[in-house]
Amino acid sequence: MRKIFILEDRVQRKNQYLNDSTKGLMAKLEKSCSLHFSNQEENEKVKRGEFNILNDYSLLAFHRSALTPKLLDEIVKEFSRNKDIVFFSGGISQSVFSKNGDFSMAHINSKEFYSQSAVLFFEKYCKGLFEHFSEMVYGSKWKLNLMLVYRYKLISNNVDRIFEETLPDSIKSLNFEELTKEIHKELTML
Amino acid sequence: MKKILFYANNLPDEVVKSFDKVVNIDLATKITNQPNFDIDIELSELLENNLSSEKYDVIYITYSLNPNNFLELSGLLLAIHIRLTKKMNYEHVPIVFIGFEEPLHVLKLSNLGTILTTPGVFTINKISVDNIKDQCEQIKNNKPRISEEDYAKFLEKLNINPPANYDSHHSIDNEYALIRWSKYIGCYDKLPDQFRKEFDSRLYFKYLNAKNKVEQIEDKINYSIALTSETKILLIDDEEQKGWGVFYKSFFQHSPKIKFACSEIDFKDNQNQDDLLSKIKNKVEAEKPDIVLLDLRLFENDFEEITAPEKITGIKAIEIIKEINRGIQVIVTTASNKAWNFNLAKQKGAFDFIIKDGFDEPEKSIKQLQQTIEICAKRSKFLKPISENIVLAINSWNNYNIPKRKNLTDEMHDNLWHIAVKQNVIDFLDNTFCTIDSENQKERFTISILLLYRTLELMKEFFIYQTGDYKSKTIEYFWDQDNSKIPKIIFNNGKYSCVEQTKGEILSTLNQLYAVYYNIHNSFNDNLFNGLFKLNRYRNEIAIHPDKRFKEESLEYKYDNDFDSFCNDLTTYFKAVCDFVSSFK
Repeated sequence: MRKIFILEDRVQRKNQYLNDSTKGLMAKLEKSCSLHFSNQEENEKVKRGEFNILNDYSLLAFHRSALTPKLLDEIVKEFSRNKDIVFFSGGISQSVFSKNGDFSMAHINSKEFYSQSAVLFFEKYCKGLFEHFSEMVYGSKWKLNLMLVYRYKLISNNVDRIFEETLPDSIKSLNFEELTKEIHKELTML
Repeated sequence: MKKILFYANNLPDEVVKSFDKVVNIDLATKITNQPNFDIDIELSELLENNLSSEKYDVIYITYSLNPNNFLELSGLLLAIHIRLTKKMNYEHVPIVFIGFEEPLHVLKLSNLGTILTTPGVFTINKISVDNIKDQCEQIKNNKPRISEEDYAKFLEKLNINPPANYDSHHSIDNEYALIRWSKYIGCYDKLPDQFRKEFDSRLYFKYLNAKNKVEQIEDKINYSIALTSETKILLIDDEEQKGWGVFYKSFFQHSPKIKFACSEIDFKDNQNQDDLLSKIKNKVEAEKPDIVLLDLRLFENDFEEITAPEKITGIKAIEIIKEINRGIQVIVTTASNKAWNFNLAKQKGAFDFIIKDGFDEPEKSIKQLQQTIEICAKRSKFLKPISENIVLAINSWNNYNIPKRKNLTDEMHDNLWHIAVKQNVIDFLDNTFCTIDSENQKERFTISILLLYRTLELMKEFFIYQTGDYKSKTIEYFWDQDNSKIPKIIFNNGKYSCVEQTKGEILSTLNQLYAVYYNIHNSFNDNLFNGLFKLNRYRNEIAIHPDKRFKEESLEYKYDNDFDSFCNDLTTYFKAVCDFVSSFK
């Protein structure tokens, strides 16, 4: 089972964003030990650069303003090639993410990090049932997002190997016209 | 028409080559490499680097500037930045979105899509060199620039929400007040670079600026605060380094009597609230300020909605400051508008509030700040030394081992009189301070003199008893502890001396007080006696005559018309009484 570590220096903040149903799901995930909110001691350890407490986790999420820029750099250096990383903060005006080989990195607004689609994603992530990291932000629209990206890569003759490897076969097998048709269908259904 | 293209390596080569300038952006790589990635700052820098020097007639943008992510629609965000960034002068230039998607679909995908419905924004979804050329021609002929009216429509349609963190920690009001107030007094350029960079880059602030026209209130007004003596002001604010320190420094620069200091406390590096409060205490003790400008929310937990008002660090800090000296004036400067916090802060001794509200007119807020500081500077001048004297007096009196009254000739008192008088003196002194501290009490200074005088009367009544009466000329005064006759103290040729009391002669309260002092210390105290004399005169000639309370000699009159003389008189009266009480050890 994949595990998620969330460093949140102000635990009350999550209650500000979570609704009743997501609160319940979050609590369930915490109970099953799949998702762990850091405690004071762990926060201090991370702040001291003692990262060994993070070894067991696959996804590390950090409240960005709780850490210094230097520490954030160290985290990226240490984990960007072996874990999925999420930085969340209220100051992030637009959620963005990128893929680095097999692993992903996202900068997400706190509101989206504690949104229903993110919490549902955490459940899928722990169970290994998620298809793409962008589900965290885009929920069911993640596939549409990939198709839109793929179309631009095709037209600009810019499909790199790493990107192609992360594409589901159902998308990879489409040519430009089929892709456009599929995208149009999805967009019309929105 | 000169065309510039912002894209993410996501268009065919022949199309890209048809532009005069091409900016290829890869947000994906930046996101991976920069943990502190901030899209607003990134896009603002991008515009500054590419639009500052050369002029383009039309701007083309792809919907996304991240080759690996479409739905973030960063191209829309870039377009809004172009419209709202004043310094590049591109707010009125036509913008064309280039992409396969239909505008209606983009609108469905993001609120940012609203920009597609505003004047001067076009789309092209059949991507070819010829189509771009044709459309460019049409724009040139029909809409080469958007008018002011169109711009107003754009602003009307646009709805930019504040980032989530501004709901709590970095309150919009707080930062926006700092920006507008600084612009108003002409010190915006002195604010820390990082803050200005963030403010100048943040889409939300650009939006507020466009709507509220901050630049129109940049008139420099040199506020000076009229003070007659030096006043020390200490700022305790977790955002003092972010810019509030600079603002106040500039605000006070035309007031040479003000000595301003920031707390320089590291508000982030504290184990717990007590740790921070202890730093605040040390700072106030070291600086000995007359006025503290205090923010309420200073520690992490203060920002939690569930934190009870009495547990907020600023509220606890007021208690600490007032323990150090009740005369220090606390002005709460906060972005919070919670009435229960204000009420509690006032109960704890804060004098007033300055609400950091960026949406209110800066002129009004700054005027209020100026007036409040002027009042507080006046108040601290007499309240601080008086508070210090009262504390010393109460401490001494508390330690004084008061003897039991031996002659219970007074029917009003029993054999616990000494305990009652001990407590009464403390209560009266405390009340005198509360009286002068209260702005609501119109005759507070004269009333405080009557209370002071009553304190002295309580003491002399306890130590001295009298027998006989005036009419039959049998009146005599005795020291309670040994029943000896008290001396009569006279002032002759600049010296105090004792003479024997004459039976039937009335000794005034002042004379009895001198005698109390003499009997306790077996000496005279010229300064103290002189102060008591002045107090006695004020009490007899003005305080007990209601018709004289606002006349020239009164404290109330002097407070408004001759403040230095007022301070001198009031502190002399209080010092005399406090020194008298303190002499009992």
